[in-house]
Amino acid sequence: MDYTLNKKNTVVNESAWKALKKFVPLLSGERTQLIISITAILVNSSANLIAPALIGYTIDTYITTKNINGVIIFSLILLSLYLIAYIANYIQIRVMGQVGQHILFKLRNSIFSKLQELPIAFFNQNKAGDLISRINNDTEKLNQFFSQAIIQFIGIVFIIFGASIFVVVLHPTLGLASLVPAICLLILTQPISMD
Amino acid sequence: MKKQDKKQAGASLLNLLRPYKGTILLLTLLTIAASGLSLVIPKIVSSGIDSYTAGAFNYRLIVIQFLTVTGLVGLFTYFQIYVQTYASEKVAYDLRTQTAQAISRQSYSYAQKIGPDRLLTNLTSDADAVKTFVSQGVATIVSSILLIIAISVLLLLTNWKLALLVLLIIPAIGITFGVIFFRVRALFLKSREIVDRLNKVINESILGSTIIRVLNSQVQEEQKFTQVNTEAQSTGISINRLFASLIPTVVFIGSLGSLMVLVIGGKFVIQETMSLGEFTAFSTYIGILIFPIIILGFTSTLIAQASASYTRIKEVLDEKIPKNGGDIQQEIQGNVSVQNVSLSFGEKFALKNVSFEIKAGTRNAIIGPTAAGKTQLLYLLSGLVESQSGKITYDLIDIQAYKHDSLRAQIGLVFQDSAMFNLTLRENIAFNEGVSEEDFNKAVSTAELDDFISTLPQGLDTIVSERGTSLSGGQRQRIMLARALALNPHILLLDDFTARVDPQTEQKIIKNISQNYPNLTLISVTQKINPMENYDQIILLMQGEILASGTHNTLIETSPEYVQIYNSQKSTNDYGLHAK
Repeated sequence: MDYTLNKKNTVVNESAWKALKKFVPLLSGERTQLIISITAILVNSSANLIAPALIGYTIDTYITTKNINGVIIFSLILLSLYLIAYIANYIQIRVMGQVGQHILFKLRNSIFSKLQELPIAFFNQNKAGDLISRINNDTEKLNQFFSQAIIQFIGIVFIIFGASIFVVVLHPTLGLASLVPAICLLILTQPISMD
Repeated sequence: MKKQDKKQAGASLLNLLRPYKGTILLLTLLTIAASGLSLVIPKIVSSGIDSYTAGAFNYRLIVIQFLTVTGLVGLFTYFQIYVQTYASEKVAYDLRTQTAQAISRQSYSYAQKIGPDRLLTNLTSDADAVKTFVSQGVATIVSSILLIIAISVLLLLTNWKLALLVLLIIPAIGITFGVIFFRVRALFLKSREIVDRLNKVINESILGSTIIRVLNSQVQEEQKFTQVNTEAQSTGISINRLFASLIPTVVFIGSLGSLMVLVIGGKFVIQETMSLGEFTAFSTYIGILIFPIIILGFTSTLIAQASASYTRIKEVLDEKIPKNGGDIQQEIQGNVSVQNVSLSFGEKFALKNVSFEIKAGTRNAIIGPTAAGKTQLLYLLSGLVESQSGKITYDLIDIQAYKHDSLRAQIGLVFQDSAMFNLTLRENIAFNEGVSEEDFNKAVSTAELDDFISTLPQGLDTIVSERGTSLSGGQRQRIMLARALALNPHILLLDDFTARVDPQTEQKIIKNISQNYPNLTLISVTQKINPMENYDQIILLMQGEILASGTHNTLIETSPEYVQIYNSQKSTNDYGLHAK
């Protein structure tokens, strides 16, 4: 039997979406946490989107018209918005951190159990350092991905769409014009991330 | 105490970067250029707005200014990323090389103490953490701090009253960082130690894979692993808890800054002590100010992690390298003298007042039951361990006066534990470079390996599996012997060589050695007396003390203990013969 793990040419270029789909089974037991996190990040991103708009509105309606009371009322609204963002941010980091740690724990345990099931021939064909590195370091990278990258990704995508809509609504022509560089960037980075 | 910690943590990371001054300086300059230029953008926008309201808007000038600045920012950023990637890979490469070198120069006992599990983490996760710090931390910290300073100055210039109030957020955030940093650092140290233990459990389960399957103890192994893994999880969650309180707090304090601008700045505009253009510039600067502050929040965990990792690597690097003995490099004849040597581990004596003489070119055996101190004696003779009292001399010169590597090059050592490398058989035997073809062949046939090698389809080019699992214990021992002999040693130390090699082969090997290496002084440590009749001297060692020494014939007459061991082994040998 051939048990060699490091076969040549096993690294296939696949699209980011395909790669992301592979992670779905890992998240199967974490549905509730995921929903909480996504909600939290959406709340946080919404607050991040609304805050500048509120500031702009306050400047336009109250500061230019010299209405100090309006400024104070909107500042209080803004403060509560920041507090909501604070809580949402905390919940999101906590919950996703736990999800990441949980996945890390499960993955390490299942690789180790798998090693116990494999025959001796497996250990003759693979290097100890390689196996240790897979259990400790590779899983850690996955943890980082789940605890930080995935939700930030969702949050950032949301902000990009939200901000684009805001910009276009505020001033359609100017908004569309300001989006041109972003679209160029999207097209430019595509081939790099595929490699 | 805490303050000192803080200084050390900072200082040690700065020390790390010292050899890369030039690169770091270049990186800093590029970063300053890129982030400094990006500060000009709001200024262009603000002057644009002001000129527009004044009715003197020149859109072409604005576009040219804007494009030049952003183009330069892009160019500087490109080189900055290039330099920081180079610097980080270089730092990690150097750290790994230095660690590997430090360990290979260290004493045997220190290498044992540190262990492979810890070293593996040092070389992978720890080096990686430092690398991440250099690639993502250094430039970010420099540019963030510079941005914060520059923006603070700009804020003060725009409206100092408002600026002083708003800048209160900086000390507030500084305190938050300070509180979290040391807790995170301590937790990172702990989490690395847990990774060491994970390494250990995995490594043991691989080394012991055969026995685990024979004894069916997989479940125990899994329990051991799960226990450490659970600790890893709870430490990870504790780190995350700190991270979860740090980031939102920093973001919130930053947001309070822009809120203050709105309320107080708004009030100033209403009171007409500040223009709307100034107010806009102020808001934009605050927006830019919050960004480096949040980034510093993320980077602070990188710093904590790198600082914990670097401390661990530094421990290995800073451990004093043992002296390479004295200056004497002369060729030794093989006259060994051990005088009143004692060695103890804590209260327990491994060797007690051991004295004996060995003449050059003779064959000597040190026999004794298990735990007699035989292996320790070999370590002492090879200079791997130093005795607490007494003296060992080679040709009347103290062992410590010899240059260690020159002495060891003349002493062949065959340990009980065979160290096999995942290389070809030839490379495993001619492990030291500069072994001549003639010496190589002589060593291989003396170790009775010719027959074995001829059965292999790829002969000497056969790759030995990691830890030599593809070979039998006897084969490994003979390869070890060939490796020692290939260096043409003057003295050959064998540690329980007979345990894994059958008596017939052993007899042949001993005969080959006398034939092919007539001047070699042989010291063989063993439990078996059986083929001892051919030795010039037999030293009987029990519980760290020498009971008798002499030839087989003298000992049979003078030492009752020797007779006892001899008879008991003879009867088991006879039993073995009958059973066949």
